[in-house]
Amino acid sequence: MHFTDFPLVDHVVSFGPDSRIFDALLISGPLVIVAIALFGRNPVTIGLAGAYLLLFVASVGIEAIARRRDAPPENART
Amino acid sequence: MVQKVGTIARDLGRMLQALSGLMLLSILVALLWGEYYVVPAFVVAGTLTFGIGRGLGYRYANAADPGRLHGMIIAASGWFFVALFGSLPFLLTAWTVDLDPAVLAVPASADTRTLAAFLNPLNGLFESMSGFTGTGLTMTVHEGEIPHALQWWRSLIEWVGGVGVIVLTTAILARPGSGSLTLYESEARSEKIHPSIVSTVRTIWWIFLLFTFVSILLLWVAGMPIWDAINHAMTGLATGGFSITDQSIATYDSVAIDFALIPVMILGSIAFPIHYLILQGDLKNLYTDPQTRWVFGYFGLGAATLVGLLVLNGTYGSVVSAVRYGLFQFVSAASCTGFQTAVDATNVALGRWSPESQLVVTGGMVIGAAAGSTVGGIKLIRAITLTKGISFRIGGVFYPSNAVRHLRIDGRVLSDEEAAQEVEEAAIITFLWLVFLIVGTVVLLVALPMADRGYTLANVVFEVASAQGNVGLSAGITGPAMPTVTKVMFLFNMWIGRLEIIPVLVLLRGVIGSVGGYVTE
Repeated sequence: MHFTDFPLVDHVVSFGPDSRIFDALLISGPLVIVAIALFGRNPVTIGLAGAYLLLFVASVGIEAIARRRDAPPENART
Repeated sequence: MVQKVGTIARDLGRMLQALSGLMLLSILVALLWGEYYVVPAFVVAGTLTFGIGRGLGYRYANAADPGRLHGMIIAASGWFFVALFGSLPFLLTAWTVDLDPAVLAVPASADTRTLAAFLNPLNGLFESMSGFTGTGLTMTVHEGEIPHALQWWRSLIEWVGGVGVIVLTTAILARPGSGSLTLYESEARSEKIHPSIVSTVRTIWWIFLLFTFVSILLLWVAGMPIWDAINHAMTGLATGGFSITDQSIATYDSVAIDFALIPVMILGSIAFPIHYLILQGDLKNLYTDPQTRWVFGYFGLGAATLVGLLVLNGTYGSVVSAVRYGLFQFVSAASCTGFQTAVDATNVALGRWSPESQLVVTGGMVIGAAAGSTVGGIKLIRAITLTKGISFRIGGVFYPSNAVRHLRIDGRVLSDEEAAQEVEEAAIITFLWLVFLIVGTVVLLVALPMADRGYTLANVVFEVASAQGNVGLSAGITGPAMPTVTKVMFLFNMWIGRLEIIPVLVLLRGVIGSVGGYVTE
């Protein structure tokens, strides 16, 4: 089962910039925040939050690399 | 105007219905914090707002579709009426605590001077308008004393207001010279992104939500408690600046938190269409998009100037402190957020900085950042348009009369007609902005007890610029003890500042025209 199979999820992620990673971050964001609210500040929640932030920053770079890889050569003739 | 009332009323009704939904959802926050005595206030506020909104929507269901004129009037009147009804939670909660019905078991700790300020409806309206316009000037004396549900409501209305202005400027009021990119228009440097306003709005929400989650977690990792992180992330990203603490960000006295908030405020200062492109991997827009490039340059230059002045004046004992507080306060001012770290409790209050340092901060507030973001002020693009327009006009003197020259703004080569329109728009907005800045200053100079309170002209200009620029930094003038006429003046300043003046004037002209008994075109 994919996370987009949940109700409304597919509807919400369709508005984003077509990135599975960012869609996953959007969906998981509230879950991480709720986990922090429930369990407080401890190594696990700090790790979760840190991983989320690192993934966000890394995703920007990943999307840039993917875009450059998929872009047609600059001297390509149409 | 008479014939247009139906269209306007219907769309206002829809806005009020959406507002009522936010009020009713906020009941969850009251329940989570065990603030059961606050629940009836939100239920009544939400029900009343929904009823009136539903009634308007039903009564004018068959009204004509909105045109361009409607858009401006709906925007201006919508912001006002949303602020009016958005004040109900403040008013009703204050009256609930004051009446203290036995059935609600209001705790004694809830009966505070801070909450009692909202017994005055004008204070509630001020707070609501300040929230929805993303200003952040507040009638609360001690933010920590109000119920968590009202802390949440303050943050929520700033957050919604922040998205609202992005939608407003990128999807509804975008016009030549406004500097706003539109997601649904073809641009020279990007393919057609979205075919309609509806899809544009949804994408803006998508981005705003993602950035909010990132900001919350960033602030929490930096050391802020999670409730504080949620609220300050919402108000920081929306560049509104409401805080749930008495001393704003200075409360935490944390270098990590100060520097974690800077990228949050900068995120809110960049045009959201650029964010969309960045998330798609088009990183070059960070430096090829003129407005984004100027935002970074302007923030850097302004912060460096302010830090230099703080060091030269010996305001702080060390260069490190000058960098910490100078950088934060300039970004806070230029992004029109209004978070404050320069307070006497931990360092040197902004109001006691040298006049030239305060002038730099004031200049940052007046200019603002990118159009199409959440910031207030005149907007950087207009300042640049005016500068380039003047330079182009003066430079034209040195060319022969038959020389072919074109003004380039925002990466675009403009025709003579386009150039005239854009420079005219920038000049009109800037002129009106300064006119109302002067009007507000005069009103405050007359109404405030200047000598008694030790206010200076610089303080007054600072405060009015903060209100009209939707910034929220305060020199200590704003508060529940302000004279009524100054609160009303600030309501007007905040309102016109958010709408960039023209829509409010269009609304007033339409209202005056209809009262005068004739129908405008």
